[in-house]
Amino acid sequence: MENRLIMFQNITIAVRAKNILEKAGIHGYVQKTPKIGNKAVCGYSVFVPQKADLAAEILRRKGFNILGRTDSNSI
Amino acid sequence: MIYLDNAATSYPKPKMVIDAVNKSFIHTANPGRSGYKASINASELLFKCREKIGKLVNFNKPENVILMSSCTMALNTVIKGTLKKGDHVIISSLEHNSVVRPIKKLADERIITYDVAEVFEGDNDKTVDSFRRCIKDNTKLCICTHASNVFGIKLPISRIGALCRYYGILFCVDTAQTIGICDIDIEEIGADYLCAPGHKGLYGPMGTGFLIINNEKCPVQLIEGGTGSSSLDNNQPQMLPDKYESGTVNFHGFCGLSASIDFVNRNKVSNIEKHEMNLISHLYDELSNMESVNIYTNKPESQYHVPILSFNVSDVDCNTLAAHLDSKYNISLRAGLHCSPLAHENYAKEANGTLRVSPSLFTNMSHIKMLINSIYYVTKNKKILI
Repeated sequence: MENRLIMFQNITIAVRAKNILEKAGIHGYVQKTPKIGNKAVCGYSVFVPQKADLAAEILRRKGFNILGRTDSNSI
Repeated sequence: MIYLDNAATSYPKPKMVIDAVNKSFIHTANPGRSGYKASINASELLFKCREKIGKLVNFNKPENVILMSSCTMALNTVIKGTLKKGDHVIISSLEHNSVVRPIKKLADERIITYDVAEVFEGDNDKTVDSFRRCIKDNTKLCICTHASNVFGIKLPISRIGALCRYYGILFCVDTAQTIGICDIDIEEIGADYLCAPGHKGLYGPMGTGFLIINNEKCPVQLIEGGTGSSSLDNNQPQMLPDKYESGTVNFHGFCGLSASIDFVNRNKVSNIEKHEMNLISHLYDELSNMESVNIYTNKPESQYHVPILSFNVSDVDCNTLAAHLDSKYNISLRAGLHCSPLAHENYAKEANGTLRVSPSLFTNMSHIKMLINSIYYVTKNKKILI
């Protein structure tokens, strides 16, 4: 299972990432980053149901600072 | 009402702007604070607004478009967030108090020193030279208006920007009177910071403005507080735009601004400028033929002016005349110093203020003719006002 949740620092960056992925034909949803373990993150993520690895690669190439990746099911 | 005070705020606002503001009250919540649909939708609408603002000036980093309450707030952020003890600043002789007052305050507190570069109408070489002569070893920032809000005189900002780049000086442009009226390319003008209102040439709601940061050097923020991000950290987030957007953003206003930028794009900035310049040129021609009308500038030309014209009628107080035009002809004009005493000192020293005409896309020739006729009547019957 790919880590489908790509985490960013704030909502603006997350929305921008989602829009870029849409232009590349990859669908995603912006959502609040859930608590990871005991730690509340207070950031925003893009949940990418399919092709999450490719999505992350595209965003890294575009210069996005990805804080981390996880799978929403594992949180 | 014949409204000719668009340099203060544009009126009327386009219907699509009013509709967008009304719509923004439905199905939306606080942007960037929560994860439910209405909140995310609100954030996406704000993001669209940032994108549109950026595209308007050929800038493609939406997160560096900071949404603010006014152009004044943006200018204050740059001035107070950039300057440190011992720095020197250059401003122009046409600055608005939104620049002059914060600069003067820092100078009075002996934090900075500053010089005023004289602007020469119609002679860009002399103006650029004037800026060059003000440069010192410790000059950190040059901040200047793109065009005077009183006299409509345009500054050669691309050349001033190039000068600043050459000397490693930060360059901030106040586009209060040019955004939506002149085509602006932030890269071409070489601005590190661009400040603008949303409610003048962009036809958006009052209470909107923005700062574009086109430089790695981010000014220190003026306020701290909740941003909906990094909440565990007691320090203000340094990422953009959160660094500068503590507290709830004027979401409804920026939904209106987003629609108003569509309106401006639909009409094209170049067409808006052409329309307004045509009106102001006709006004200039007619007023300059009237015996007791004093105009302080040359005939407006796009290269050197924006469509703003200041004048006075000899022996008549401009505030009295403005009140007369309002009550007798229902014409709305602003009179006085227009928050720019520095500009008056340099271009109309003897006048205790001016009458200012600033049209919009909604102004037509019959409005201008009505103004011309009313001024003509006043010049022939001055005793009613003296």
